Amino acid sequence: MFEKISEKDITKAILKGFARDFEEYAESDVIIIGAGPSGLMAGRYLAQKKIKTLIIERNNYLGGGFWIGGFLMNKVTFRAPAQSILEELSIPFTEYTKGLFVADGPHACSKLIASACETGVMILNMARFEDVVIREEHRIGGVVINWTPVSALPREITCVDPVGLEAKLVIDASGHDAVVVRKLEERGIIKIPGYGAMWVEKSEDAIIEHTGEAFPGLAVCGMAVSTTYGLPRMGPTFGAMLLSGEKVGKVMYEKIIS
Amino acid sequence: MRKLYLKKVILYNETSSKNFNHHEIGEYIKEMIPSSHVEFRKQFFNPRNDTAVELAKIKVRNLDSVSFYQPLYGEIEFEKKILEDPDKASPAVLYDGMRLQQITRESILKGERNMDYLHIVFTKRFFASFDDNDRRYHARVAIFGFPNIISTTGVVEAPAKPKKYYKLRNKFSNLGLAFVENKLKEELHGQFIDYEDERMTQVMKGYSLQAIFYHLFHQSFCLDKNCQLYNGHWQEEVIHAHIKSGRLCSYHDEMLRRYTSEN
Ligand SMILES: [Zn+2]
Repeated sequence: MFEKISEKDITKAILKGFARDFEEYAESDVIIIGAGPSGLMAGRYLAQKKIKTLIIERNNYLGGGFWIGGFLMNKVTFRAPAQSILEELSIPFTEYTKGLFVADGPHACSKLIASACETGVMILNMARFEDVVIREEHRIGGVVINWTPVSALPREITCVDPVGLEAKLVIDASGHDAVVVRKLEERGIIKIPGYGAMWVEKSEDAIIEHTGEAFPGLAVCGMAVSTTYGLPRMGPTFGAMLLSGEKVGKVMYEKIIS
Repeated sequence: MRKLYLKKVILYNETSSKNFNHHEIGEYIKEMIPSSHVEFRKQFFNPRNDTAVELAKIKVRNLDSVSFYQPLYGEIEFEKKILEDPDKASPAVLYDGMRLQQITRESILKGERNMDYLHIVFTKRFFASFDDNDRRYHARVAIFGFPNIISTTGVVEAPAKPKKYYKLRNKFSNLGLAFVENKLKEELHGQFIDYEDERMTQVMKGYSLQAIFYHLFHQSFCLDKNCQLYNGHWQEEVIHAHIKSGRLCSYHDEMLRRYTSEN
């Protein structure tokens, strides 16, 4: 039924395809760390605008926590006005009560992933952020990455050296871990706060408001925003993640074309 | 003892809530103290270049320690936005109230920096003060002194809500924020002061009186739960003192009466 193809041709096809992309994206306009809902939205927006964008994802799957909603149930909820993004992505949803919308997790997540990929954003999965590249006077100029499995190996046999990738801007979309921001703190460049106002439920707006450049050359979006600025932690709020991703895309686009 | 006097009350309204009317509060103050002049201003800050940096610096970083450090670029940019449009202030950003008062004090016009003037700033900014007894920050509705700062966010967030509110919140938090908020609104309607609450102006009248009492008599609180000077720690108490009662106790009423008859 299938064409007869030799093993070596398969190997070559993989290698060449990968090498071509990897070489091209050794220098990008924007590198996004994390392919959860906010990272995918950001990548989608930028690639649509013809900005050369690379997303680094440590897992083999994309979408982060967007597959599943509260209590491991695969319904995801959104508050107005986030349903406009569902419409844009052709994700079916129903209105539960006024202004509260429910969609199917797997359907929503796969649509978002497909939509991001179709814009031409480059994705490198199973790769892990290791460090930042710092250019002149405290400005981020790229990231250092390695294969995810390497970090799982015992130290004495982690013989795979990481590689550096350059970019005009880096976006930390790595969720509560905020791995890029935390790395800056580890290196003594910034200090990030603990969680401030634990009282407040209304932190979705604050996530959106704080989305953008946090440090020269480094922007934050999604849950990484709450870690960076010490905003209250909250439950699953996919609407805020999608809107935050779109906003960081817009802000970074303006920055690049100006 | 210093002479009690109040020449002018200046009310600054940094919020744009349609349910908060600072003119109505001005009228109320004139009613309570007919000799006072009331002036209305929109924005409080006349930002200097470094105001945004100073404000970003005084954010509460940890609830159990007082520590300030160099803010992030993004935090300074955020403060610049709020200085331009104070209505953008976020309830998720918590400031050290005493330091906020210091910074605002420096922004008061030179000629108005004396005890003839009572400045009340109504703001959406949310602040807390550090309590040396339990070594923790506690959210506040108001910081009295020079100037007085009263927070429309604080009145929603600082006094504790009914116990049922927290039970529901814990029970449903896994189902997502959107779900929880709807549920809470349904089940506890009216039992706490909310954002855009229709009772906001009425409640703020009481806190303004507390500021006036602090200015004139150096006491802003009363132990009588029916008095507007009662320092309510629960939403129920706040609603009782300012809405259900909405008046001063006879002792404080008499105190104010004596002042107004002499001035
Ligand atoms: Zn009293």
